Amino acid sequence: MAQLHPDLDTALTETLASATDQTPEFKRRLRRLIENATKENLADSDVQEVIELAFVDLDGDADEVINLVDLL
Amino acid sequence: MELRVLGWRYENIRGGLRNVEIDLGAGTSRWTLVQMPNGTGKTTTMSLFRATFSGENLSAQTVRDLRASDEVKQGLFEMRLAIDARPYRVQLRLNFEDGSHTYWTARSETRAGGLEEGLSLPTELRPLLTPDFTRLFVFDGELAKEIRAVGKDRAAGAIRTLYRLDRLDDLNRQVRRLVEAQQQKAAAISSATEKKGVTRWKRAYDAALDRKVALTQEQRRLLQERKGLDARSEELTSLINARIVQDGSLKTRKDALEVEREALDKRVLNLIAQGMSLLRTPAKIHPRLLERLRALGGKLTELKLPKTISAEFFRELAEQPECVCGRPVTEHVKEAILNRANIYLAEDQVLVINKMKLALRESSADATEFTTVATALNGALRDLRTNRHAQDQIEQERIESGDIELERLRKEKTTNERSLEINDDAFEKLTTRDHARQAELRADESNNLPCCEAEIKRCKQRLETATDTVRFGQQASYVQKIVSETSALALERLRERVRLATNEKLAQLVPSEALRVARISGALELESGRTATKTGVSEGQSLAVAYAFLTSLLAEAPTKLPFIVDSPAVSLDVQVRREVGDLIPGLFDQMIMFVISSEREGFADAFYERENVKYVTLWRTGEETSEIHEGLDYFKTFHQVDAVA
Repeated sequence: MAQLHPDLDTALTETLASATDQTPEFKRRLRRLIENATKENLADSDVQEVIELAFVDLDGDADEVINLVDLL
Repeated sequence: MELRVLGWRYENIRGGLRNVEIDLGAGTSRWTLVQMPNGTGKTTTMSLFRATFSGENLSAQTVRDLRASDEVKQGLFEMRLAIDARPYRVQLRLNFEDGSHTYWTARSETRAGGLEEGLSLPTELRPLLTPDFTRLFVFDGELAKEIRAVGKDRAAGAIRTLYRLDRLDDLNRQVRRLVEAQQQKAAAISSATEKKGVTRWKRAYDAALDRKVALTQEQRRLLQERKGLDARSEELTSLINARIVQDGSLKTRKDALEVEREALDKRVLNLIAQGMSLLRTPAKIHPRLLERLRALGGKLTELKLPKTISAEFFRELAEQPECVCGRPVTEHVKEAILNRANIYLAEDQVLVINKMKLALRESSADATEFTTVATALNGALRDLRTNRHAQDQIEQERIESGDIELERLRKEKTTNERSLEINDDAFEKLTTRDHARQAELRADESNNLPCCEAEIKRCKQRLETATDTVRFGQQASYVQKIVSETSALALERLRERVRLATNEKLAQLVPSEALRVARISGALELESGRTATKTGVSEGQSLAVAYAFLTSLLAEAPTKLPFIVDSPAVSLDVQVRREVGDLIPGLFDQMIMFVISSEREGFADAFYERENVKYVTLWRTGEETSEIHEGLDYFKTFHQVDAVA
């Protein structure tokens, strides 16, 4: 497994700790994705799988217009 | 990952570097001091290192300026590297005539270690080997000023690159590309890539569901109405018959016609059943169809059995004492059965082919059979119409003889039949699945159940597509947010780590000034003991800050890079020079320092007591020639008046 620089590792741990609504599986896979991202090019399928594990609440703000492209 | 320089070579480069090679040896020394008098190509060498590491695009004038003399047409600079102990050779080939240049790489992985055009160093190094970043470790003195210049973003940019936070930006860009790809895919089905699209399709879906409820109620109402009309129709028929039978002669005619009608009804039903049955056997419909089917059958003559269920049959047969033909299964026969089984086995879909073959073989029927039945059916229907007309005639005669009640009943029956027709039409429009009929009847999702169901399916699909796209987009945004937050937090921590390390070194380098880095934003913001923000610093202080920062930055980086520096101490006063000389050596795993003789005092002499140091002295012996001497003694005693660079 790719070793993260300690500062990056701490930053990631802090960020993931604040993601209380996410599953342990998502957190584990995202951590591995970031570890690999610092080392090599990632396959789209690996990135997509992690994205799809993220929990989002679609019911909130149902009428709100969100242009996703602008958000990115 | 570790990158080390093993040596370099010049061909036809200005400064007398006609054919010069510097070999740092297999067990490359940690420190290399290359003493070169001014004007012998130190600056040129640094530029060549930077260009060859980064694959920089040089202008034609820059290439021509490197020319050793007008006589030479081509030149070369070659670096020998070890990247994680794997050897690489990188060449910068110069064409002085047309000002062009090319890069070539020889890797241990390539066949026979041959040179390939292009700069082919490991992918992981690419972010570090940009022209800008190369200036950090093939140190450019100008950078010392830029690191402190607001707006240059050198300092923070260097941290991001070196500690691979820029790879997290790449990850976020990849996430964005995936979202865009998903949106493009979804756009082929629905334009709803936004939340308002989800809402729109949800409303359309709900409206279609409501319509289906209303149409189903209408269907029930029509069926109920139909039931009532049918019942009344039967009732009216009975009442009319009751009026007819009151007249004896009419009753006799009526009964006879009824008997005939019942027989005709049966005949019609029978002929319809026959006709429908014949329609299922295409060969019996028309001679032309029969001809075509036989032609197809001719093409499917080879018998094959489905592999999955029939392979075992052959295996078991080979084990039996007797074959299906009654002859004994000898060893020879057994072998033949097993070997030849495959000839008769095919994929399981062959079952369908076999069924087709069987059906085609049976396509030997009389092709005029259907025509005969159709003609008979036509005749029976004609007879039924005649019978009906005769019955109407009887009713008419009774009315003409003064039966007013019968006349009323007939009128009601006519009205009832009209209502039945209207009911039939409405029911057909409401329920038909035939696209041609739907078009003729102007049926759509507002008045036809199958159309409405199709609309529900379409809305549902678009709603799901829109929802999935929006969900994926939000999931992607969330992942990007986490990655960005991680990157920002890590950058903050790394900045602080580098800042503290830089200040520790500055305290050693310039203890009297109390010069400190207050903040690393885009650039380095300095403060001294006296002023909160320090802007005016000397060249020596600037260099000290740059060294302190770069050594702090590079020392803990995941990728170990060599530090190559030209005249590292020339602008420093002797005290700072000694501090730099004491501090820097411990910070890099490989340092290559180009010095002039005046830097020996206070800087180079700090290495004299150290081991693992290589000393090289390179000087020009004529317009086009140079000489190299290795060793400390020569290095220490070399004296030549520095030429003007």
